[in-house]
Amino acid sequence: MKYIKTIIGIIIFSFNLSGQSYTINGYVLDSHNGAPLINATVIDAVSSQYTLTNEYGFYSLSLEKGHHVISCSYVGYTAEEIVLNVERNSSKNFNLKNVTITEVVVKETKLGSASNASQMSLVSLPIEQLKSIPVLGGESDIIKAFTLIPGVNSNGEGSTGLNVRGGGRDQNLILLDDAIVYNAAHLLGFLSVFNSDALQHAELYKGGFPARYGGRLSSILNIKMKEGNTNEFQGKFGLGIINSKLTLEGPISDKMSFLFSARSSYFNFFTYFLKKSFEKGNINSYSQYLMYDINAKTNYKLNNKTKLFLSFYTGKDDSDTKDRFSSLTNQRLSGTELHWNNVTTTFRLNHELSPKLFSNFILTYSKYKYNLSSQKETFGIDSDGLYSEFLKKTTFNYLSSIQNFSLKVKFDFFPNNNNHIRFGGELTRHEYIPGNSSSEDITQNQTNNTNNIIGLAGGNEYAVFIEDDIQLSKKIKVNLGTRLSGFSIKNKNYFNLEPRFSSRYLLKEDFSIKASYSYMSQYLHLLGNNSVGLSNDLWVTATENVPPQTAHQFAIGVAKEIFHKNIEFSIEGYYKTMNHLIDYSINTPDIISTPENWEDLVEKGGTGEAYGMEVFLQKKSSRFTSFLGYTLSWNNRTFENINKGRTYPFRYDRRHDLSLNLSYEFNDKWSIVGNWVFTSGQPITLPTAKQLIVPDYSFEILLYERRNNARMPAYHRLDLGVNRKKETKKGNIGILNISLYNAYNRANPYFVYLGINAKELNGTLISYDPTVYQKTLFGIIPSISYALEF
Amino acid sequence: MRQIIYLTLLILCFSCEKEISGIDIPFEGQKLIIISFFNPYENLEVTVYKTIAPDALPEHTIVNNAMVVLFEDDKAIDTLVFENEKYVSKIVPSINKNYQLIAAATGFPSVKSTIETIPTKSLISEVTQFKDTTGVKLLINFNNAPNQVSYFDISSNAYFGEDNQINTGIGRLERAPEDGLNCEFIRNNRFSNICFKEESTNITLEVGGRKIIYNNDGTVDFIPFHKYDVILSTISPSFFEYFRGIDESIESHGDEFSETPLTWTNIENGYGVFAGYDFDTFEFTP
Repeated sequence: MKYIKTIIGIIIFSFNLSGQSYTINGYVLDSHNGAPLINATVIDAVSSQYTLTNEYGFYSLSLEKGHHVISCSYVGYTAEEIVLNVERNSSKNFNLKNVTITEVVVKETKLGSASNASQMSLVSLPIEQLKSIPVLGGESDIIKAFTLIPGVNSNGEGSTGLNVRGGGRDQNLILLDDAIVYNAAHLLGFLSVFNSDALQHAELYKGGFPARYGGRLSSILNIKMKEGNTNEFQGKFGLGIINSKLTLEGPISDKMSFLFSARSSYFNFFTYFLKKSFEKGNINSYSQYLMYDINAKTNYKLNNKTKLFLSFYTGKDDSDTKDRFSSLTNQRLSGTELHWNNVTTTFRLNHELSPKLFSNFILTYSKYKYNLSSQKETFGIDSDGLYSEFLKKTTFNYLSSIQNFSLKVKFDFFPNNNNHIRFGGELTRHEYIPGNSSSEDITQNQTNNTNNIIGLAGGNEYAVFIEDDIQLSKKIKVNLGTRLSGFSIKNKNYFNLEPRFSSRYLLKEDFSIKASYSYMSQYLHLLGNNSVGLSNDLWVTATENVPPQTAHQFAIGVAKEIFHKNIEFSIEGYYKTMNHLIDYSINTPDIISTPENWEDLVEKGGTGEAYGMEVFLQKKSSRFTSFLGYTLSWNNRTFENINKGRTYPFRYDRRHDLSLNLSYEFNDKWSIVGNWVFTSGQPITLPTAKQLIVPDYSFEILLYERRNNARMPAYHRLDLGVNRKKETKKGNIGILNISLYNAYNRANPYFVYLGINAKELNGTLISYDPTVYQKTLFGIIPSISYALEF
Repeated sequence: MRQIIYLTLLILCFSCEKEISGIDIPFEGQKLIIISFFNPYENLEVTVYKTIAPDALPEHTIVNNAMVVLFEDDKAIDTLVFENEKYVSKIVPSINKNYQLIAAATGFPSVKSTIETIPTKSLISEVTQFKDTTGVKLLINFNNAPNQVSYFDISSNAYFGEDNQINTGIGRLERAPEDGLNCEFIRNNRFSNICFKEESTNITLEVGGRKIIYNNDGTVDFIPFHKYDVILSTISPSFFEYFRGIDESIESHGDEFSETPLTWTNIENGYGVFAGYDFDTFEFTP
């Protein structure tokens, strides 16, 4: 209560800093395609009063009566300036012209300037600039790009999982147009589900979470799809070694525009003939893989104050493997099919209730479905001779899914230029099927059917929030907020009051100190293999026996522009504690066989501790840009029944993590870019001793004393890319990209395992000795892609 | 599991493998390993081994200079004597008493076991034989202690010919465990009564029914078993956990994506097991 009173007091104090005024409001848009520009600055040059656009490009600026020079600016765009005689409330939209797209590769968010924002631990990634970063297979990937940022690790090579400031991959809230994406992996994790051609903007919060976000402990990845060019029809066609894609967008009328983007992999076309050959009996095995996704969006301008948006995403992965084995007595046919599918739908209504109050009504639907099926047929004579002839057929089907329906109501209130208040509420219905399985066994004259059907389980998550971005003085800016969240399942109700705070103290114009605190709660848990981006993710909600996860995070940092403001420098330290974590105590249990028992198969009540320091240096100039990110971190977990109750390094503990990006634009046609990444080795568990004689066993065993007591070799890799732009005779832009992934062919560990080497002396076997082996996934991989913009 | 196999196949297609020389397999120094299973019919015996480095060559690992002290209900009652590679007590353990071991040897950290007791044994009530398409089986009924989780070890000795004896039998549940039961059945002969949900106490032993002898001339003789000694041991939780731990450790090899379980032990500062058991024998003639 005392906390709420303090917030209200500060808000009232800040309201009193301003006198009576009129309001000008409107949108700041890209003049080329009509896209809203987020965090653009609208400033009165006379009074220095300013405001920033919200995430829909809307601004509201309070001004005294009289003449004003209003300037609107955004990084990478030509500023627009107007003279305005303010006599009453009025509307004014700004359409800014894009001047360059290669000035900055990755930039910290700019609220006026990096050091000026009260928000910290936020990384904003312009999608256009993402495309110049060389990646595996030449396909731009937003998730991979974010792993270059300090404080963000990938789950490993060939994985789209993120680990942010010591969190697990389940602790990231991934939003695509406000709808949750549960599994961001295509191609078993080698590619994310986000098609960069369909995206407008992405931002990642690592800490200092504003109260408007919640539901996960470690990060918020907020991705916006393009809204469709409102001014002209345009398209893009791309060819790469993994997939091809097509994007179309344009106006339907002066009030409506659309976006459609689709991409699909090639593998299935190449393997189609293998399948046919298998069916004819010419070959004994084949594998097929199809990946595709579709993004679509349309918007309709109902009037000057109201806009409607409808966006849709679906993506699917299908794999099919068949194998035939023949011997003198048997013929065996086996196959496995794997399918997983994400769907999101968002309906959004933006409405200006007044010049100072902007409203946003959102309905979302998200679904993730995973399906595994296998068949095995055996014909012939059984080896034990009990049957002269037989037919055995076994089929197995498994399905798990999670979906949610969500209603969000959000308001942006600009009472004056010193306050930007956001408030609203969310209601989400989570429904999930931990797993339905059915199997059929046919042997000679007998058929056994086993069905394990579990109905939908689910719960309701709700939250209300209020936050205020307050300019207390020229030097002090704070964001104060709180979020009251809750979750109801059966007879159990959980509530969490989540205070949020972030602040900035400006020491000089370009030098600030920042601090933040946030308390987060998470009502979903992820069951699944912890180590790789397998698609058998099984999302479940908190239950009566498994409480929601919670986390406290403190962060402090400084931001400064140095070397004549050519280089942005920031350093942040963070400390995070996590409670009520779950994990598997031993081998991944067979959740698929008994999903209804998942609560008994996990260790509950775990705690986590993560702390570290992140350094980010970024150089900007017209042709040469670069950034350097470095993280020093510790990341531990403690469970009562894991590692004998002792604290151990979490699987994603990385002591050092370094990323260096350099890019140079020779001229309008040619540019090059390079990345070098270095990460300390992943913790692994190795034996500490050997026991030669074991009762009941005829062999020696290895003894394991501590979890994660050793580390894999360090990971490092250099990627290089060359881009060439050329205008075709018809005036279209063709972009050729040639890249080298892992240019010096480093054999990085994908995983390591313990093998046993037999030792001989004079031809006599004397010992079996453990030896560590590693698997490397990718050596040097050249790739080429071509995109045509028309 | 299917998916892990699938992924492994995929990785095999793209990946390469090499031996790593940069990772040292950590060795925390030699420790004592205590192995002792005690029952109420025999003098308590303990074997004391030492650990060696994971990559060390085999050597004689029995420790013969240890001092092993047996505690009964918190009182030291015996210092065991080393003979025939074992430390032997003059005490025969009693039911309903608590036992603990402490052992020390030069060059090793001293070790201490948890306090253990001998569980109350369950009795075999009936054994019958039946035959189905997969062979000869013994159906064993026994008294299941109600309202507690008990652990068992089942085996049989089969007799054929005049004086020949063979240990035989693969344990199977008579039916699949009830849904939701965390039923564990390790190495075909150890299980807990959770498997039965206190509704059934039947277990089958696949015994084959005959001894197959392959002669040098290529012929095969089938000699039927004429008698079985069925042995049902009621084992302590530590007995069960020790072997379950070893099984889990073995199973985890080859699954690179799973966490390796730590070695289970009830010996503080060392390894091994100190556990009690009792058993019932049932002679059955088909």
